[in-house]
Amino acid sequence: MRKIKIILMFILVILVFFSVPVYFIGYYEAFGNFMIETLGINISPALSGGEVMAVFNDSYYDDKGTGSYTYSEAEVFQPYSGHLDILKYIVKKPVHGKAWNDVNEFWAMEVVMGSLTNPLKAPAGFSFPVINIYISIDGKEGGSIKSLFPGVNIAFDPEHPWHYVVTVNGWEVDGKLYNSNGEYVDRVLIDIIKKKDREDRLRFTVPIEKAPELYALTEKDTTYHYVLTGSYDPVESGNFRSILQKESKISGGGNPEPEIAPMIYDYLAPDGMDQYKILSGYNSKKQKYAVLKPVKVSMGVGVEKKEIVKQLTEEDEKKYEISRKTEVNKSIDQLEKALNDNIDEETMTMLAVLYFQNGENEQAEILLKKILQNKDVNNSAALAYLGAITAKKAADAAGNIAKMRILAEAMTMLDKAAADVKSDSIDVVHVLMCRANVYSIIPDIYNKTDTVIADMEKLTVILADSSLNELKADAAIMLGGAYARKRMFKAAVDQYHSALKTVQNEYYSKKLKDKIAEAELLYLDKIITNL
Amino acid sequence: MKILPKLSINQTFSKSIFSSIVLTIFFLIFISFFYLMSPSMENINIIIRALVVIFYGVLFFLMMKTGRISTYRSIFFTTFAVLFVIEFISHLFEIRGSMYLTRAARASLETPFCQRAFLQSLLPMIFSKDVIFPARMTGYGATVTGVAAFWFLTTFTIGRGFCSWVCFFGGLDEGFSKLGGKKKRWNLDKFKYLRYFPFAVLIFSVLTALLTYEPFYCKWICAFKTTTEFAQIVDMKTFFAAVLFIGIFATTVVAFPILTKRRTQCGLICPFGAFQSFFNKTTLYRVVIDITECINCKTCIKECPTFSMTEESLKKGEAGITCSRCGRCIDNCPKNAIDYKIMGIPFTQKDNNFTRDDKKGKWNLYFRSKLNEILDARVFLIMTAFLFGSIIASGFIPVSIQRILNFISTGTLLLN
Repeated sequence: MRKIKIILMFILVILVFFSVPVYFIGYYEAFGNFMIETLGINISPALSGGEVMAVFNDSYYDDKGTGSYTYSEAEVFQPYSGHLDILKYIVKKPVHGKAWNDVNEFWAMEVVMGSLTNPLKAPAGFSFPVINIYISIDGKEGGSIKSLFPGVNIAFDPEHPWHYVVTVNGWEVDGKLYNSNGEYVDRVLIDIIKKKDREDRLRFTVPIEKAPELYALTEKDTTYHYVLTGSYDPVESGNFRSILQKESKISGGGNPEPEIAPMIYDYLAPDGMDQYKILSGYNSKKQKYAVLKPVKVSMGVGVEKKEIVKQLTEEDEKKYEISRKTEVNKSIDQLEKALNDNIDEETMTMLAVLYFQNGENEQAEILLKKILQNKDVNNSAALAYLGAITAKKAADAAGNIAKMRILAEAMTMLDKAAADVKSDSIDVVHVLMCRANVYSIIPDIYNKTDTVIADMEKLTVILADSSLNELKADAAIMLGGAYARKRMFKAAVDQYHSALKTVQNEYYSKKLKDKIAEAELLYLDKIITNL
Repeated sequence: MKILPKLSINQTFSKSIFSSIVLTIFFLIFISFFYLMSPSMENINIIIRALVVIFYGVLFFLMMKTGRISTYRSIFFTTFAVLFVIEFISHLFEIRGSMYLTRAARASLETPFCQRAFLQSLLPMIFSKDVIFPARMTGYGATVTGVAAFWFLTTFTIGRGFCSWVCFFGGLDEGFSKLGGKKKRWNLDKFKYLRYFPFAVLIFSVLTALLTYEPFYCKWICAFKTTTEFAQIVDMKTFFAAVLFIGIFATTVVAFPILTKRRTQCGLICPFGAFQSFFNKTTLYRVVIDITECINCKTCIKECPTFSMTEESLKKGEAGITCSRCGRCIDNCPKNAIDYKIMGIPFTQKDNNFTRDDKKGKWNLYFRSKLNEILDARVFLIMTAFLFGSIIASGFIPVSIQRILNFISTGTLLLN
């Protein structure tokens, strides 16, 4: 009996003392995912703006109107990009019913901008863009193909005349809903949705009680949306700032024909169509405005997952690998000829690195140990490569405990190398790359993604003025990967884009484009799943 | 064989210095992990964090050494609630510039979730899988899943002990109940059926949430909006709501506790407390009365802050289901007839008898006598409950103290 009591007590001790910290260490996240994914429990759509019905991506850095437009030269517009750039347009399902909200029946749309800032303290929380969403209801008679605001110089697809328009800018607390007769229908609520680790989004909550055609939309209906942005100006028509031939403090520039060309900086073009071409489609001789084409939103269709069509094929990978190996082997041959007892430390290190790159880890390890034992105990690059080889051994080891033990050794080596390396030596590049390579593939539980980010940011600064473009791309890919791992997909995409600008190499170019597509798709998933 | 006597029933619950120190060290090891080693606390001065750990250590040691639970728990619990309020409001001013629950915060699902919101969300969640509160599902801070997991764990370890050790709000009316001397100016004991009122509030809040599909209690009644966040007063509706919740706060959290020396908010109007009462039987711990020792002085009935001790309890030998394990009855019983017990396992300092056998060479008599003290139900309850409370407090107490120091030096509680 006494033994049983002690056993029970022992169980109790475990329950009491270990369940509490275990919970706080982070297992409630797993519980959260279980609730969302398995039980399907989530925040009521009425509170989150409604279920996501459609998501459209728009290119980054295309806030150039016809392709040549520039921002006003006023300093407040710095960095003269992003403020008017639509990145995403999200349409939610209309909500009918009660909600802890200012309106009970509404239809919400969200727009992600390249940058949403408020240096001028506009009351709605953003200073620069004016956003119009023209909505056409398929099969409904009437409508208009003219812009609500004449000076904007645009026309709409005659097949899809618009019936309602949502106009929003940061200088009025509420947006406005008009019908195609130009009559004011109702106010539109503007909210800036802020989430940690995610870009701020603008949500427009359109009350539908006073808009019978919107109220009556069912899952069978189809709507068409024209989404466009201009630069806010308090006095111009529709608050769209003029875009003239030459930018000035009060107008944008790069517009060869301001009388007829559109005054819009970005527009959500449908898949397969080119924004610059559409916006350049005006005809000054015939005095015809550019005709915008809408994106289609089927009210009953949820978000369709896009498949990534990979640009980098297996064949490309093989080709690249063969050419890389050939180069490495050539260098190994040259260095092996010089290999003798008096070989200098630098050559030895280089040879070890080449062995490592070639997958000949045993030879690399022998050389690296020789360097560290006989030549230079403080050779950080050698230590880092030895750490990387040890980490690889950990991956191949049998049993989890052995894996963890060997990985711990590898991490100690890598951290020591990073701590000891002189920041002005070339070794720092090797050390940081080695550590980032290892830390970016070890399980999340080690919590090393921040280290990868810090290392790669440091490396990016070091390489800023160098011509080592492939190495720069490697660093950006690594950094982008780390951001993606932290679910900061926009930051990841930005990294890949910056790398894409620097590389000429076709292999890297394809690889980066795939990474961008992948990160954008994951970002889309993030929006859908994380209401 | 030398038979050693069991601990006398009249001995107090105090422990020896050795046992108290050993238990305190054990407790400190756990909380130090959260206060001193957690990366999330890197921005907070290490001295502040260390002082908080020492403060808890001292309270825990005193609970063990003196055998008085409620006195020291009350100090912890009141500071817990006050510092929570300071941190919560200051943080709101940092991110929103006011205490107003703005539309943008709701639209961004950035309203902190709490146990009361959890309670109201339960039925709609079961029926529609929708959470009717504008909070985050997962992530940092007070999320739906975080609170749900937290509720699950606390409920099945300390049951309604939550209300006296971990609740963010309960410390306020406990604190006010200590003000204005010990004399009760208003005796609620004669209103026998008052103790059932929280269950009515519970039914009301659950049903209104289900019928209106929004957290009705949170919107209109919750008194603690006064110390957290509330809708901006812009029309008659919001004005009426403000009058209602501020009025409830002023009466049930401030005035009534001072007058009655009871926790009237927790004991009479909190639906979550009533809800937790149903889980008091699912935990291992009980507050048990030794009927043979009880002299029916009714001190426990008079002292119980949550109206859980009744004459029926004295007959049954166990506190009522609304007992929040605060320990006030245990501290005040003149015959030491009340103590915590672990269901089915008679491990208490009074009952233990590890010293009964004197098998030489096995256990040293001294250490076995210490085992009598350490393997004690109250040690386990206090350790669990205090551990919960102090770990939860790690999220706001150090930063709150940093804010107070900042206020002393710069005149503002805001850190950025």
